[in-house]
Amino acid sequence: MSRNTFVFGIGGTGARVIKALTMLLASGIKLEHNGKIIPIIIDVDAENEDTSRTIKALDLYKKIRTAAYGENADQTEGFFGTPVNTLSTQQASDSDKINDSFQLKFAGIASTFSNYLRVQDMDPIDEDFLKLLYDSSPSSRPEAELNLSLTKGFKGNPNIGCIVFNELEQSPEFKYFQSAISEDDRIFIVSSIFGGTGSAGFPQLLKLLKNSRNNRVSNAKTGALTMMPYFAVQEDAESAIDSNRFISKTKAALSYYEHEMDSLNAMYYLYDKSGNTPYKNSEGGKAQKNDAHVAELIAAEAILNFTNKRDEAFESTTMFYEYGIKSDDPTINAEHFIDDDSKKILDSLTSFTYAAKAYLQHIPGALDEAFAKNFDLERELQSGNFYRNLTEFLKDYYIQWLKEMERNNRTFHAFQFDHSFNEMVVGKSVRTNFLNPGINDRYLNTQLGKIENELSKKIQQDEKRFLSLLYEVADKCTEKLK
Amino acid sequence: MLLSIFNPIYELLLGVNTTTPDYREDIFTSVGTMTAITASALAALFYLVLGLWKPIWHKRSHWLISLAIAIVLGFYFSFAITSKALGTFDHYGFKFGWVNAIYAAITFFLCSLGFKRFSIFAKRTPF
Repeated sequence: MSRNTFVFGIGGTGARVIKALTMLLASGIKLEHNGKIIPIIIDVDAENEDTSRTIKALDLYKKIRTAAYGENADQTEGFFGTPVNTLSTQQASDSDKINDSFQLKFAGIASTFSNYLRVQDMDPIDEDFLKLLYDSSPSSRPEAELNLSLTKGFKGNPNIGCIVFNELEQSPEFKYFQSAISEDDRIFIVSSIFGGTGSAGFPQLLKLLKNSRNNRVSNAKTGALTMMPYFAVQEDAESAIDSNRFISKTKAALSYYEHEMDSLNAMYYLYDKSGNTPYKNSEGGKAQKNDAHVAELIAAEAILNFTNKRDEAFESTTMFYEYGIKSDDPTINAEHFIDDDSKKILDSLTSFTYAAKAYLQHIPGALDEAFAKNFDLERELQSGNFYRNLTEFLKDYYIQWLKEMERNNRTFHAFQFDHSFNEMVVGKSVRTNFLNPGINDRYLNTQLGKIENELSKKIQQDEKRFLSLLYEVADKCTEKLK
Repeated sequence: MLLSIFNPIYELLLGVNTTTPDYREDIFTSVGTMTAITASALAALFYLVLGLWKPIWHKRSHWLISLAIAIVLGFYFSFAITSKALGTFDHYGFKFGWVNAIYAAITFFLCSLGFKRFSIFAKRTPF
């Protein structure tokens, strides 16, 4: 059966979880149905670096997949096997065209909150009432609520975000989404609960969905994950963001969710205590570029868990989920994940990491081998679009993502990318002896040669054959671990 | 009769040796057969045995060394068989050695072209 899953990622946290999901899908994780993932990132902070990085990763994923499997290819076995599309590629019969982008943009927020509300045009009574609800300190205090510039998000003020999110219903993208969704499609919303954009946007978006006049939207199976505080930021008296208030904001939001979230089919909660190293206190824009965190990886797993559930698995009331690891250690690796779904994900990541290592570190030194000449890799690695995109994705996004999780608190250290192939997986090394050196250059060249020779009999198209080659060689490397 | 094809091949470059009919009657056939078999076998070993087993002897440098071995063996067969048959290795015999070395190289090269498509690791060797 085929069903699409529209994944709304709200704010910086939503964007980072979607980035984690992109990495999981790139590693070859398959959906248990023949459908697509359609990420829609909602962030009023147009220059948020976390959001920009996620969109770039998604763009690269789409380009690599299109080059290898074709533009409208169904799900296939292998790396980048699951279709990930922009909203605009979905058919929507009674809606205007929209931009081909993974991001939904808000109009009219390039100003202060006061200007957004057009306070200057209000009746005096309305204006006075407004000033009862929002801090109206003089304009010399930019952190006062009515003076807040919206270009970098809501800066931990969900009471502002909920007003702006009400306008989402009028956006061309939301109207397009309502036309594009089909009967069996699903919806998932990812957000944080302790910031401004996510905690404001999630309940507003849910309300819009469930109150939609389109039955396909209001009746769609809907799930959500809300990230409770999992990091802290450095204290900065001049910043509107204060991590000492994260828990109180979380409590306030949870008390609202307790009574207002019963329209959801599944609700996932995730929390981690913040580590010893707080993030830089950036209010938004290009400066907001937080390291990836293992909690985002687990959040991405929740999306897969939801989209793979059979219809019969849902109950008439909201199902709630939490997540636990084996032990509360400051550094964790694959051994800490005890459920079967997590183990499958980590197996896929292991395989993908082997493939990345083979591609980035081994193959450039093996360009005189026959398999490399069959792909004309000496030229293509430098100038071919497919290979340049693949290099950028693996080096600047995937490996970078792993390294960020490794240097974060809590540390996720499952791979040692700069060690040998035999020692790449933490806690599991390939057994070697005098007669069996494990995964070395000769082993890799032998596997690459033999596998490419077999694949060339059934796959003529170079890009698809190359991805299949990486997939099967990585599989051979993973087998050596057992 | 089939094996007498070697006579015109060698005499094309060497000329007919009217004083020593042994070349025509025996030596050309023996040397030609040994050389053809050995050069083909070397190419088969390169492409179809080692070239299908592991990437250990498959690059252009390895091919050039194998070609050199074929050339040396080509010269050696003509020297050994001629010396055994005639008890000597004269000037004609010396020229015969070099011509046979060239024929060994050509045989190895032609077999390379034929076998390389069936190889895995040497499929693109020498080009």
